[in-house]
Parts: sequence; C-alpha cells; structure tokens
Amino acid sequence: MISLFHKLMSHGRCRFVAAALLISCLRLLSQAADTNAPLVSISVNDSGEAQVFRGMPLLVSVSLINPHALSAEAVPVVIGSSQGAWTNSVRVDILDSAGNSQSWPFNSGILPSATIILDSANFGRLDRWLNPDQTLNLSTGAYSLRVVLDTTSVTTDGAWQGIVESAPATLEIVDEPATLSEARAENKYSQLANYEMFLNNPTNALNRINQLLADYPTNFAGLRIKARALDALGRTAEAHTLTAQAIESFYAINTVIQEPPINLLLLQRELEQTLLNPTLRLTVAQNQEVTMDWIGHPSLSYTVENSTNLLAWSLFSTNFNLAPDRYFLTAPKIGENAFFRLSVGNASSSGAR
Amino acid sequence: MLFSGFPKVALLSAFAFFSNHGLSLAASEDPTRFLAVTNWYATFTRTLRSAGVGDGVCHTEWSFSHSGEIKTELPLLPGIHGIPGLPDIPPRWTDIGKTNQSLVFQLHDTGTETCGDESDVYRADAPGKMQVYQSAVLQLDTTATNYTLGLGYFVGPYDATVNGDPFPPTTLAWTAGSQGIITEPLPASGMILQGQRSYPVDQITVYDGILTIASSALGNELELLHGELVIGWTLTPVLEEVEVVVDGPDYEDWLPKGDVKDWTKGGDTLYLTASLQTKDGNIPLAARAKNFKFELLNVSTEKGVCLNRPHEEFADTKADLKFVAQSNQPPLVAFPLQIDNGGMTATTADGQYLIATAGVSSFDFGAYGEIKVTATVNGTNIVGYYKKDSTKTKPILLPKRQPNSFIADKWKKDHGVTGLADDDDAENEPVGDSHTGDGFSLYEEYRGFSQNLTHIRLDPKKKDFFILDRMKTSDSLLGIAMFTDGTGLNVHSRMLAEEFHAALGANGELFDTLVNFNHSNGPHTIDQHGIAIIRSPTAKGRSYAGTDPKIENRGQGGTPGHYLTVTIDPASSGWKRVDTGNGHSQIRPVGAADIAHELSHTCAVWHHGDSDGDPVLWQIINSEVFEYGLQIEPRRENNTLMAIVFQEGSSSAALVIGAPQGQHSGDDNCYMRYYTSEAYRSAVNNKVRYLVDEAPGLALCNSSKGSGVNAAGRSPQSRYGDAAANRGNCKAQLCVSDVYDGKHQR
Repeated sequence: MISLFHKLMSHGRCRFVAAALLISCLRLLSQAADTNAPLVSISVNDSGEAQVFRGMPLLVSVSLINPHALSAEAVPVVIGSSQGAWTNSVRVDILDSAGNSQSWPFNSGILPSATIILDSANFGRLDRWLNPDQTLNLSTGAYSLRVVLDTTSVTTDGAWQGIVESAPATLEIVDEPATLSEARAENKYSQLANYEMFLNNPTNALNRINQLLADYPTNFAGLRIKARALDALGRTAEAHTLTAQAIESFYAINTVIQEPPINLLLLQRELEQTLLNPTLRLTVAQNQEVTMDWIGHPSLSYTVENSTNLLAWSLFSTNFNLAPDRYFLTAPKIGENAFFRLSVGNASSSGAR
Repeated sequence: MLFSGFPKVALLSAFAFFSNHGLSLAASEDPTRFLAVTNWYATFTRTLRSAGVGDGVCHTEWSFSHSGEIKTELPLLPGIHGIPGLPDIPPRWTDIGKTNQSLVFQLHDTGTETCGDESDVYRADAPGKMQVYQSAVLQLDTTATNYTLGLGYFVGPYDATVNGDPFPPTTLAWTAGSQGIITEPLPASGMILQGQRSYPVDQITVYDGILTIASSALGNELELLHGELVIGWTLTPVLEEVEVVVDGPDYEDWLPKGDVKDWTKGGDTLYLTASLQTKDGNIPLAARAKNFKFELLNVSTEKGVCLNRPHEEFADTKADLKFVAQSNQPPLVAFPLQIDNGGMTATTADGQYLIATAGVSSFDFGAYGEIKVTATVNGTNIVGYYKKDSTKTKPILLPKRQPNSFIADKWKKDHGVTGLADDDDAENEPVGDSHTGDGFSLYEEYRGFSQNLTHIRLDPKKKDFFILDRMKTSDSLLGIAMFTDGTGLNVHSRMLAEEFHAALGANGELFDTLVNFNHSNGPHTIDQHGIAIIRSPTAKGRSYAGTDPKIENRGQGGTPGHYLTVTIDPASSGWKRVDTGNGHSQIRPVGAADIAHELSHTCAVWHHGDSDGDPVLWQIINSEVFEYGLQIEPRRENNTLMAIVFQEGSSSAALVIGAPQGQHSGDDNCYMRYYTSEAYRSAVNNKVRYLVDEAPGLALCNSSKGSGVNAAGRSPQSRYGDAAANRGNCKAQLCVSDVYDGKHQR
C-alpha cells in the first residue's frame, strides 16, 4: 500500500502506467502462447484480501498485463473499446455477501486514451478510490470484487477481442475496533498516510504515521512511510537517518537472515542519491541579490563554484548558512551572466564530487 | 364336498404333480420365445380314407384314398406393436406367394352309383405331377399361449373321369376340415409345433372341395358317407440369432465431468444406445427385447469432484457415475427408464424393443466404471458390447479406456501419453534438476483441479505449479509472469483460497497449501503442495519463503511442501529507477522480481552464493573513511572518488558489500541474484571500495558464469565473479515435486 499511492503520485494519478522494462537484458526463452488473452487482476489497498475500517481510504486497482510480458517476443495486445476509452471495456463487479451488486461512487482522475498496448514494455493499470469520508457511508460486511475485461464487441483494427475475468479480491468493511493490534494499526495508519501522500500533503502523512509509531516505534512500515514523508518535506537527512536506524534495527532483530531488508536498503539508497545529487535552487531578489539553497547533509561537504561562460569555473564559496535540512548561501549582485554549480564531497579533503 | 366342483381326474392330476415336485411349480418356457422365429419349416400331411357300399335311393359303392405331404417354408411377416394410431398386429408366418412348396400326393378315388339300370362311374387319380396352390398362415398369441394354423392349400389338378370320359381339371382343397383353421396351445417346452387333427368325412360337404369328383357317386346318398380326414403338421422353427450392441456418438471422445460450483450436480451425461441386431449386423426380423437393463458396475468413488474441489470436509465418496431420472425420460431418451438401486440401474418397462437409450451422468472429472447392458430376448438375457469393440468386451468400460487404466483413451491420445501408466509422474519439462515429475500422477493430471472455480486438466508433459495470489497487485501479477517465464513451468495462478486444503485466515496464520487432497483409489504420487503469495500483515522489512513467523528461516532447497507460502513485505512493490549510464533510465519491477525470487526458492532454487556477510561499518574520522581501522577509498567504478552519506549526527555508516561468489555473483540478469550491495572490494587495491548501484534481474539464469557486471574482463573488474560452486545455473536447480523435498542440499 505504501508504494501504491506513491505510484499514483509518480505517474500522475491513476492512469495507464508505462513501465519500460529492460528488454535488452532479457534472455528469456519464449513461452509457447496458448492465447493472447491479457492477465488481469484486481486488488484493494494493494491486497487481494483487504480489511478496511470505515473511515479509511479505499483504493481499487485493476492491472492488465500481456500474458508473455516478460518475453521480448511478446505479441503486443491492443486493448480498445467499442466506444470511447479503453477503460470502457473494463467492468468492476462488486458483490456483497448476499450477491447483491454494489455501486460505489469511485473517484477517478484519469483521461484514458482510446486504446492501450500491452507488451513487454507496457502494462495497463486503472485505479479508482473512495476517500475516508466516503467509506464511512459503506455498509459493513464482506464483499467480493472481480474485474471483467470484455472486448468482444471491439472493432478497432488489431485490437484483441475476447473476455477475461480476474480471480476475485475480497474486501471486508468493518468498524474500527476499540483497540488495534500492530497489524491493524499498521493497516490503518499506513493507508491514511499514503492517502495523504497521494494528496501531496506530507505533513498530514507524517502526523498519521507518527500515530502508528507512537505505539509501535519499530514498525518497519511506519518507519519507511515516515522516511518518505520526511523526504517529501525536504527533510531528506532525517529520512536517511531514520532509514539507517531501521536497517540497523532489522539486523539487530534478525540475527539469522534468509533475505535482506531489500526495501529499506533501496529506500536508503534512493535517499542517498537525493543527498548526493542535490538540486541547487536559486532565488533572485529585487535588488538582484542571489540566494542559493539545497538539501544538505552534515556528513557531506559542499562547494559552490561560479562561471560567466560555463567553461571556466571558480571557487565561489565553501561557507554556508545552515537551516533545518537546507544549506543557504546569499551572494550580492554579480553581473549579467552568472552560473553556479554545486559539488558534493565527504566532509574531507578527498575532493570527492 | 370340498372339491365337489372339480372333476376327479383333475384333482388327482394336481395331487400327483405336487407329490412329484414338492411345492415348486414347474416352469414353463416363456411363450415369447416363439417370437424369435424367423422361419418355420413346415410339413403338412393329409390323409383321407373312406370306402363302402350302401343303398339309398340308388346303390352306391365308393373307395376314397388320399395321402399327401406338403413341405414348405413359412417366413415371418413382422407384426406391429405399440405404434400410436395403428392397431396391434401380431407377427405371422406364411408361405403366401411362395412357389417352392413340394408336394407328394397319392390319390385313388372311385365311386359308382347305380340307379336302376343306369350306372355312373367316377374316378379320380393323381397324375404324375401335382402342384400346390395358395398358402398357409401361422399366427401366435403369446398371451393366450396358443397358435392358430390356417391351411388354405389346394393341390391339383388331378385326373378325373366320369364314365370314362375326362372331366375338366379340378383341384382338391387341403384345409383343416370345413373351417380350415386349427388352434392349439403352444407347447410348454420346446419349439416344434406338431400335431394332427381328424375330421369325420360325413361332416364334409362336397362343396368344400375336400372330396374329389368321385364323391359324386354319393350325391343322393350322402348319409352313407363315413371315414375321416386327417390333417397333420410339423413346424420346425428357424430361430434368429441376435446380439446387443451399444453405441453412443460421444462415447469415444467422452471425458467425465463434475461440477466444481455445485458438486451435487452432474457435470455431464453420456447417452448410450443399446440395439438388438442379428449376428450379421442387421435389424432382427423377429426378435424383440422384452426389456433393456443398464447397470453401472465398479463405479469409482473418488473423493470430491476433482482433486481440490470441494473442500475436504464437503467431499463425499459417493458413486461418480449414476443414472439420473430426469436424464432418462423422453424426449432425452426414446423410452423412459426406471431408475433403481441408488442410480446404478436403469430399466425399460416390459415391451418389445429393438433399442433403448440410457444417460449416464458423471459427478467427477475422473469418474470411471463399467456399464452392463442386458436385453431380455425371448426369455434369454443377452449382454451387450460396444459396437466398435472387436473384442466384444463385456461389460463396457466407462469412459472409453483401457482395462488397466482409469483414464479416458481420448485424453491420453490428445496428449500423446497413450503408453503411460496411470501412476506415471515422469514428465520432464522443464528439465530442472534430475528430478522428474511434478508430484501429480498421470491420473491426477487427467482428473484435474479447480482453478478460480473453473476445472482444468493438466498438461501431462509439463510440470505444473499452483499459486494462490493473495496480493493480486500488478507486482504479484508481473512477478508470477516473471516466474512463469523464467522457470518454464505450467503455472496456475488464479487459484482461490478454498481450492487449497485449508481455508486461509486473514492474518497469515499457518495453513496448508496441499492441493491434491481429494483422492481415494486413483493413483496418487504424493501430497503435493502449491504456494500462496501472502502479503505480510506487518512489515518485516523483507520477504521470504515460508509462512510461520516463528520458523521463517526454512533454509533453501525445499520444494513447495516445505514452504507453503512466500511472504511478501508490504513495501516490496513499486518501481526502482536505475541509471543505465547511457543517458536513459530504466524502470525495473522490484516488487515483481522479489516475488519471482521467493517463488523460485520454493522450487529448490538457491541463491547465487551463500552469503555476503553482514553490513560493514564505515566510519569517517578526520575526514577520512575507515573500514574497521583500515583507511579506504570509496570510488566510483570510473575510479573517481565518491562521497558517502553517513548518518546524521553520526560518523558511521553500515554498507552491504558484496563478496566474490556471494549472493550478487553470477548472471546479473537473474532474479535469484541479490541487488542490495552498495559496494565491492577492489581485487588489486585493498583500500579501494567501488560504490555501485545494483538492479534486480528479470530472468532465471541457465549458467553459473558471471555476466554483465560480473563478466570476466570487465573494467574495472568483475564485481562478484561467477556464482559459487553448485550455485547459479538456476534453471538446472528447479524441482517442484514434493517427492524430492529435502534432497536439494547443493
């Protein structure tokens, strides 16, 4: 669920996701194709068996992939619709435990194209959600969700025609219990925090996830989401430290490991890349005074150089003002053409850049 | 007084009968046995003797002597029975129209009438050759148990003179007295109809044509006539030899089915038609079955309807083949069948049948049994065989199969496994390690499984693997696709929780992914397991093969039954950007690769190396970086120096450093290779550490050689080299059969 909302943000809210896989590195044997019918699945809050408290956000995700998506020789599958966007061929059936069909007021932020192509580089994804206020109006109980892709009446040239149905996802809507186990607290606050991240509101996300960490301070999901929220707030150094602590905690807990903490390690590396490749932000005041700032880290050294022609560079400064999470440098007006660049090294004289 | 109403003779006879036979009754043969007669070879005899002298109005002298025999054949004229709108017409046998009757006839008749002085002399004699005209008819009444013989022959012409003058050619009637009809009871046993009757000549008139012209001598003194006409007959039957053949348009291709959604319902019905035919394959002229009886024998009672449906507590062991009443009524069958014996028997009502059809309903995808079809024909039970079976095996095997197999021939033929035994589990695609099979016997592959409440039969030439995807995300979907493509296994990933042995709880508690739990008598190799992909209810920081948090570290080298699940960290999804160094970014499916990785562990595939060791602590002291006291130089692979991010407020950082022949070694596009290393050690300068960014692989390797970043001769060096001994070449480690669990300590 963490990555889900992140993905929504990263890819512009619930739209067809193009994932450029590394085709050139694929050395796969082509699998004999029985059919070109796409593989489809449906999940709720990133799970095939979700439990949602009323008042939690609810995200329904439909995925479509080429049946031979991992083969470089996958025959592209074109998904269209008999009318309008390709998503019109996708039907999500929601049934309650008595088999009654449900109609829920899903939100959607997409403007889908007429067709999509599923191949070894692209898959399709359709996300629809209910915000926390909306789930308050849902009846408690068990539901099943199934997606049906029906293109039998599509006449678009080359489009795949057929019908394919997913295995069902199950959803249980319940009222929040008086006390929450760690798993349930993680479920609740992770979803809420991710939803806030989805709304580009990392402050609220941080508040939400801190509620989880208040009771369960070593919860890995909580630590990871908090690191992301901190990063989104520009507090990357804090995020990095938090991640490093989480990794240390992991190795302390797991003395004999079967698999490493891949996601924490990847997050740490991602944060390091942000810190090692800071973006220099320039602000020019009315008096032409220039202020530069960037996300900084105390274990790193920074050098600002300037140039008038982008060819010859001179040391401009190695002394900066510190503010929480950011380094500042203010310079007086310095002429018509002024270029600045920032180099990063360890707080050493090694000259690493 | 008690028996006053019975003739004494009858009472004595009855007493004698019971004295001889105790209380049993002598059984008479079924009178309908005569209905199987196609022809009767008949011999009819006729004698007439009369001679005398008498005086009435005139004086008369006469001597009549007839003796003749007709041999003929009475073929069947089929009757009509049970056809709406038409009256029942019993079968008849007659030689009408036949010209091959043979006749032997002797005739010497003289008659003289003297009235006063005048005498008239009449003579009749058989010439050298006489012919038979007209015909005889035999009719049976099996209800009344009698037969009626209608004789309507004429023989002639004979030679006749009156006072020496020739008389015009005349024939002689060969009838049973004046009425021409004989009705006799059918014999209680045996098949020959035989008898004779005598008719006083004085009851015959000259107009019956029974007497010759010589009887004219008695024209005025008929009261003087005496003597008798004796008609005899012997009819020997030609019985029709019949057999019962069974056929059905779908029999050859029929595969039994059940219903995975409602296992109390039949899945399919096979209609078989039993026909009475002559030995040479023609429609019988005479024989009809009194009834047809269909019996199911040795019917399988496999648990459930297939190997994983319904769940074990609902799976019964009732018969897998049955006759169901609603499937055996018109218009589905020509004649309604009475279902008895718990659906094991279906019988027509008594009647006269040439055919009958029965529908056999299957309640299991691996149902098997035998069907015995018996026709009662003229009191004899005839068991049918499959029409195209030259061996005429009885009973008939259901479905069409070999006697030593429960599997339909059709399925075996379609899959090219005709020669394999039901317990075979030796498929070897993909080859994997040296262990063949997938844990499912050939019969189990045929009987099949429920997947997403749809029945599937497996490919007997490929190894199969079952997955319950409890995540159902794009990551899991793609991860499964990656695993499928990498392994070459026949992966069934749309399984439902209830299609495994144990219902799954919501929070990942222990459960069992045994998938072939519904087995009884069919060959069963081993309790084979699938794998459930579960999203860890609480983040553990990692994914792993296994299910029980208390025993997560199940080691490597097991088969599905060793792990049951792969538990995926909730954060293990999303996409990671990788700088390719050529100005492009790739997006690699980290979550999917992790899922494929863990799935492959459950098929006995190991990491590329055993360990890279714990993270190494780097410290920054006076602006220099140290690794356990050794000053080091963190560099990029282009040998430029690179900065390190240490923890805020700390002077240390823990880094994963990959080792040669460690978990990052081997083919760098294999998803079994780790991609968490942040650095590796220079092979030529013990101070240099190259900082790197690894990426997950997308395939399953088929070599232990290092490739890509691990390729030999790479600059500045191969990062981690070839895979460790007995590691890498992951495709060749693959084993899915639980038969071999514990046998992969490589």
